Amino acid sequence: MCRSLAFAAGVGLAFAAVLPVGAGDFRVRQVDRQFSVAELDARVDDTVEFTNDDKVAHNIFSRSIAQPFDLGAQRPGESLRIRLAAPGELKVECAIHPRMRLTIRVAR
Amino acid sequence: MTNKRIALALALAAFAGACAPPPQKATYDAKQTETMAAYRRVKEIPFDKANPFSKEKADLGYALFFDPRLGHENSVSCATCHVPALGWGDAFPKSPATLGRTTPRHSPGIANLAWDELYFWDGRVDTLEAQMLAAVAGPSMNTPLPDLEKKLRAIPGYAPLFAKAFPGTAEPITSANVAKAIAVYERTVVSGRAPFDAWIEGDESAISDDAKQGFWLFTGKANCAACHNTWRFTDGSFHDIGLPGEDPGRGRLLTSIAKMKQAFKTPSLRDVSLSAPYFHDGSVGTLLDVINHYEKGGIKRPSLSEDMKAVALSREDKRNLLAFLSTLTSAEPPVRAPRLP
Ligand code: HEC
Ligand code: HEC
Ligand SMILES: [Cu+2]
Repeated sequence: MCRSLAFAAGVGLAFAAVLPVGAGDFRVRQVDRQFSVAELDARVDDTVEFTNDDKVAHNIFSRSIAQPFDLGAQRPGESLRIRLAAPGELKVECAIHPRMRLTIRVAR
Repeated sequence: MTNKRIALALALAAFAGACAPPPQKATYDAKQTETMAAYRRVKEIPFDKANPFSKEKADLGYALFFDPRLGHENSVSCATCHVPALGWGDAFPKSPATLGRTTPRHSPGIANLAWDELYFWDGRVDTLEAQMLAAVAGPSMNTPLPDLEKKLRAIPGYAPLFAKAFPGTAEPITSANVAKAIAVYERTVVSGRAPFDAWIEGDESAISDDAKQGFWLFTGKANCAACHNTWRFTDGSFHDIGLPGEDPGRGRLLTSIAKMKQAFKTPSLRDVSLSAPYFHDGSVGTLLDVINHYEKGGIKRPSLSEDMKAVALSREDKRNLLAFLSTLTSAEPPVRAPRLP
């Protein structure tokens, strides 16, 4: 019951969050130590903006071969962006909170 | 119920209301109520799909966890360093291991781990099954896995237990199955109900006013809840809290991430009164000294968590925090060692 509510809330957030804010731009929020979406379909050169809507710090990074990166410490309220540089599957994690996982599928 | 009976009941209720002291009524605002709800115990244990719960596996794991024959010269069990009465940890800063060695880190409690993603202080393995195999084959117990299987096959009482736990296999006594049984048992190890839980569920008399003040400090000014959240009092995550020492912690695995240098997994604070000494190196002996560390905010260095900040705590604040932490300890009797096969 709780779980399905949380799931419904998550789906709600997901729709709110994935709506492109401009052509080729995506917004992903960090809320309750989770990414607001679990998956994204994007294209090379799109940008993804990560906004920390939590009360705690995050540290987003990826070890994917296609585009490894580390955004470093991100305080509450801060937004950081990446530009998708290469096609493939980008697994995005938070170094602090191992439960946070996001897959970005990047098409040409 | 007849009308007469209802009337009588109402009269009695009115009478009781008039004589008894007014019931303690808690008034919490919406934000406080929400904070309290976030610490309510959950009922269901998340087991691993690849290794689902069965009573047979849990019972077998219970025996294996406490059996010293798994260790070097039949002399050391998991429970040697994970003692139920000591919050499932032990009382050494670093534990005596096999062949005169000492464990490089303090033995952590193993309760409430079914909810974690990563294991060991530095998160170097991602399942309890893998963790168990590392413990038994490593310096803690020094039993290579082929030897483990040989030893267990030589104990006649184990054969039927393994056969029941892993039916339909020709040779169920394998190290992989030992790991599965112990991991299932470990997932069932959940800290007992504590006075704090009774308070969260509405019993205002379950904990003192000092302890309640301590909880509001913990979730407020002192910022402990930035990392010690949920009913387990942990985020299962990795932070450098600015302790002295050289141990690279999670930084040894995530070498390129500055914030992971000297970061360790947040421990649960359930039964924390029982599990001294504290921290990954067992360097701090009392909860007051733990609080004194947080008051100063830890060593300032690039890896220090953004959520670590010095905080002014009065003597009364510290007393309240300690009172609160003590309400997380259950009065339930510790798990006892089982009969071994
Ligand atoms: C000699 C002492 C010792 C023995 C014996 C021992 N452990 Fe441990 N255990 C430790 C220490 C020390 C750590 C922390 C090591 C680290 O994080 O680097 C640990 C960590 C763990 C953890 C990780 C806890 C967490 O929060 O991630 C689990 C689970 C665990 N042990 C289970 C077991 C099991 C199961 C056995 C028996 C097969 C066992 N241990 C035997 C000392 C011991
Ligand atoms: C930035 C995250 C963070 C904050 C804020 C924080 N803790 Fe911790 N806490 C941790 C981590 C991580 C550890 C383990 C550190 C280590 O051993 O290196 C820990 C360890 C502890 C321990 C020792 C438990 C054990 O079994 O060894 C206690 C007690 C504790 N914290 C209480 C508190 C209190 C009280 C506060 C607030 C005053 C607080 N913590 C604030 C992350 C945090
Ligand atoms: Cu995070």
